Amino acid sequence: MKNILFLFLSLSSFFLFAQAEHRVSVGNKTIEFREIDRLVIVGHDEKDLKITRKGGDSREDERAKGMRKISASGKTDNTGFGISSQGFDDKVVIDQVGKGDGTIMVFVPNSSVVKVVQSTYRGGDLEVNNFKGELDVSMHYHKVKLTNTYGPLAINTIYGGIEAAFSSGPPSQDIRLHSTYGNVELMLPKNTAANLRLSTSYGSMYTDFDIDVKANMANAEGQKGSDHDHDHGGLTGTINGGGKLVSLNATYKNIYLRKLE
Amino acid sequence: MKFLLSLLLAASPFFVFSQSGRQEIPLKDAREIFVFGDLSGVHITTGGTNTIAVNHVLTVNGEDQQELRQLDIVREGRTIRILEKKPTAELIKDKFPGGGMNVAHGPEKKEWGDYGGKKVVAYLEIVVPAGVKVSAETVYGGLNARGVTEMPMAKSKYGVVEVVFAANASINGLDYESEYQSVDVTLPANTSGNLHLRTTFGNMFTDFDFPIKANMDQAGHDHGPKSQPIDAELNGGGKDITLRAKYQNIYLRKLE
Amino acid sequence: MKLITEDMLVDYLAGELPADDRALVCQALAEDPALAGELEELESLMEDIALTPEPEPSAAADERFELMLAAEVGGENTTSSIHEDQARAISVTPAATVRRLPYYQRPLMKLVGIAAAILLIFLAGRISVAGGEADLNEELASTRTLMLDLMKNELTSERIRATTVTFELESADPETTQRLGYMLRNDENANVRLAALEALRRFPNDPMVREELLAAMSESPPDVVRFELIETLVRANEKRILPYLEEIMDADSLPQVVRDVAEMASFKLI
Repeated sequence: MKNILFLFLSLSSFFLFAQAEHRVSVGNKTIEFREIDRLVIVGHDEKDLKITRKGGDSREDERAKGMRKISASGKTDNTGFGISSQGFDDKVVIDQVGKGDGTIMVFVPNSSVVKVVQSTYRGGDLEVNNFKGELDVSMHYHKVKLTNTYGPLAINTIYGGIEAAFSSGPPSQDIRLHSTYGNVELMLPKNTAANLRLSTSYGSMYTDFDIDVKANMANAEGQKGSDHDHDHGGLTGTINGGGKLVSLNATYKNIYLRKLE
Repeated sequence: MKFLLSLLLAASPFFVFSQSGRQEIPLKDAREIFVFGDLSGVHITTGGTNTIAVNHVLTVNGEDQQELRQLDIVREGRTIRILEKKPTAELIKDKFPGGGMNVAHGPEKKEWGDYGGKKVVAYLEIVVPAGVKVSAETVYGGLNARGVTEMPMAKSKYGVVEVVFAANASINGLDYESEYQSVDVTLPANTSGNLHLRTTFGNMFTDFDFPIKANMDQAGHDHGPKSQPIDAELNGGGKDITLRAKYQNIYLRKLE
Repeated sequence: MKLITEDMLVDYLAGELPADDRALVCQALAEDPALAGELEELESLMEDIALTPEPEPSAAADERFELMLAAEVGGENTTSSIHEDQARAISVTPAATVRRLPYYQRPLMKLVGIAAAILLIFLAGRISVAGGEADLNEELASTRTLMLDLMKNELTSERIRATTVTFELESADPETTQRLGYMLRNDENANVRLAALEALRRFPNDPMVREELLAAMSESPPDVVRFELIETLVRANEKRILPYLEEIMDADSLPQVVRDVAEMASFKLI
């Protein structure tokens, strides 16, 4: 009897701490994340999209028991995480329902195409880690932080910056990082071969790569144009003989292209 | 002796006011009451037939404060207005200076914790006959009404607005608001109306089934918070049912 | 209602839509003038491809031929005048012994030989020059075809590639410019629009490029694109952007930062 009780107590703690999750079958559909306040995306080799949460208010809202959360988007929480998941012919759309709570962590299939749109000032930075599929992000107010995102990248932010790093080998797809008011920072393995297009209107460009410059409109070491000179700082060139396109644009701030030794 | 007895009878209404805070207000031809609570929470239930029963409670650190309680009862046509003049938060601070103030706005047992300060219990219990229209407004305390049949307006600045209608209630439009807390309303299942739910920083919950037409404002051109209004028809629509809770949540329940 | 995609419009024009979808598109075109406008633009693009001309010898090649011909005709005249002179000499001077020249030395044959040589030179020149021009035009045509194919892809990365392929072009040809302008103004994706803008702003002094950029400004693009358009046109010292900048400065609904950027840009242009 004591043993049974002991076993029960041990298992009960496991059940209490086992993380809740919601799975969505996505097939080959594009996955769109819309207006989620705090989002972390991680690539995995499973076929489903998996939604979990970290942080947030762990206290259950007693008043809300038995009711569903609704929002002006017309969507309802059908995942238990304050998130709506809807499937269409060609895409799965993940929306936040009402106020955000904690950070939504999603695990997406590495073969998928992911789009993220965040246009409100609410919430925080977007993180994407260890994802091999195509990533397309439009972010208004916050930063975008990418680690080992090896698919084709097209990232734009207005007020936040972009930080991207590749530490598991050189990227093998085109990379486009564009920030209007933030810095753009990219770290690449030292043997990365790429065709570079770097552009800034009012900022400076810094790098420790040896760039074979094809054309420039200002010194690549970072001299800005004068106040009277509207020519922006920009250059095209190659590193390690050239390869996939790396296009970095920081309209009002700086570009940092770092070499990972 | 006769003189003393007359004196006692003349003074008895005063004593009713001041000793226990209880009183009965004859309904006469009034069909509507309005209740205002300043420091007190307001708790409304239904009962009786010809009178409105009022219980005005104020204790500080467990002691009854009869001199710091005052209600003005005003008849305006067919409306009776029950207005709490005392206590106010400033009055309590003046009379009991120093230290903080913890206030319980209802008869429920409160866990005071170890925060120190004055322990104040301030609430107003109102029992109204069924069929009488009730409206209420509070400042510091919440507003709690149960079994009401007609309650078109309920507002609170700092308290929760919580109203449970009677099963035979007739809902002819509602305007409920809590500026800093939640609004929690229970309606008969067959209630019809045009819903207008408004919260800026909170969430909205319901167990009613109604279609919501997407009404998201496009953020990005306004650095301020965006209100996400829900406008929908409940059971085919009807009079406006407006629930507002800017900083907290809205709960719209179906009466089982 | 099913969303009408660009892909469907292209298939509609090609007559390759299933009947159901075709009916949907017809209905949508009747109800949506903006969609009808988009269809017209696509139709125009596809007609332009069909009408791409065959390679022709360039003016330079023609000029070289003219020069060569002029040089040879000048030589012929010299030969004729010698022939005439010789004839006069024969008639006036006592006859010398006249030998019959071998056929290959006879003047007529010389003339035929010269003409043949000229023809050969001309043909060789035409082939070599036309070959170079043909290479360029072929490259341009294949870029355009690839671009058109990529433009209608559902993947953002492929539509961005439609702009990247134009980086090989050293000048702004009208069709490519038109297509990049179309993508800048119409693509649903801000990243694709930015990529089209990056490709277009390689030729800031091209009048057609300027027109495309100004047209994009007038159509209220997403903010991130709007900022880049402003910067591009200000760098190009394009004063026609001033009315748009004034509109932005006066728009209370826009963030203060956007309005400040517009104000700064207008100072630079004045």
